[in-house]
Amino acid sequence: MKFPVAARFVERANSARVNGEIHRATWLDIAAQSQWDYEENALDREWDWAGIFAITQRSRSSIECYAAVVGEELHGLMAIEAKGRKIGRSEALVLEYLATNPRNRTGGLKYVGVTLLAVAVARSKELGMAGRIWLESLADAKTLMFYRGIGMTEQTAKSDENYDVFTFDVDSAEEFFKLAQAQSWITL
Amino acid sequence: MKPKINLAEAAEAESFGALAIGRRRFRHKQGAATSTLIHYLLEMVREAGAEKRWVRAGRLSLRLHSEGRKKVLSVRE
Repeated sequence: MKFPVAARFVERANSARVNGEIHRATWLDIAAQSQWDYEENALDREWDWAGIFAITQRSRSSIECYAAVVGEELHGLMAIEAKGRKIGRSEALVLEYLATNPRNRTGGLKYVGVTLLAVAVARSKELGMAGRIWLESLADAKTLMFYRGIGMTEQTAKSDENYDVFTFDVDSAEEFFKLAQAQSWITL
Repeated sequence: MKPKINLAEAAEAESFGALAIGRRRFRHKQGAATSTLIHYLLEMVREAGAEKRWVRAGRLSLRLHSEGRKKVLSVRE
């Protein structure tokens, strides 16, 4: 897969489409993330993106970090574990962390999470996991709506740490991936 | 039953922001955190081109020189 990947987002305020890209994160992206202005009660305000990114820089790291940007502005970050996780007889790519710029929570852009997820599906396919994804999510009505909206399935069993677990099977991942491309949210 | 895909609804719900939390917890002890921070600063100025020229970072200008294995970061206010 060739990066950067062209991506398209939508302004929440006026529904205007905005062109951007998704690329492998760099330290400049992590510097930009350090300037994100979180609400006091944001559940991800303590997430250590510099620490996550530092691990991606180690020679044998299987963690990959991706950034969604428009111009020089960072709109989202995603970390994936490329080694995968066994689910039954199959392997699924693990989506470790996914967050949008806090500016995109009260206004700003939509489709940042959707496009990053599409890149995760593409990497899962590329790594031989056929689009399968496994992730843990904070329990919230909106995250549920997000994952249902993209076609992921909520698992009945919670994770060891009592988070909600969502998975993409091969068919749902493919359907989502084709739709994201057909609607031009990402161009691969 | 499989959920019906609705990207518009998903995009609307992104406003929660913290969409996935990893099972892997990244925690740094202070020494490692300091090392990471300095490494982070060096990589950042390198990516910005400070090995070739002075680069602006707000009110500061930065230049990175290499002397063998030693790195010298110059800061102009």
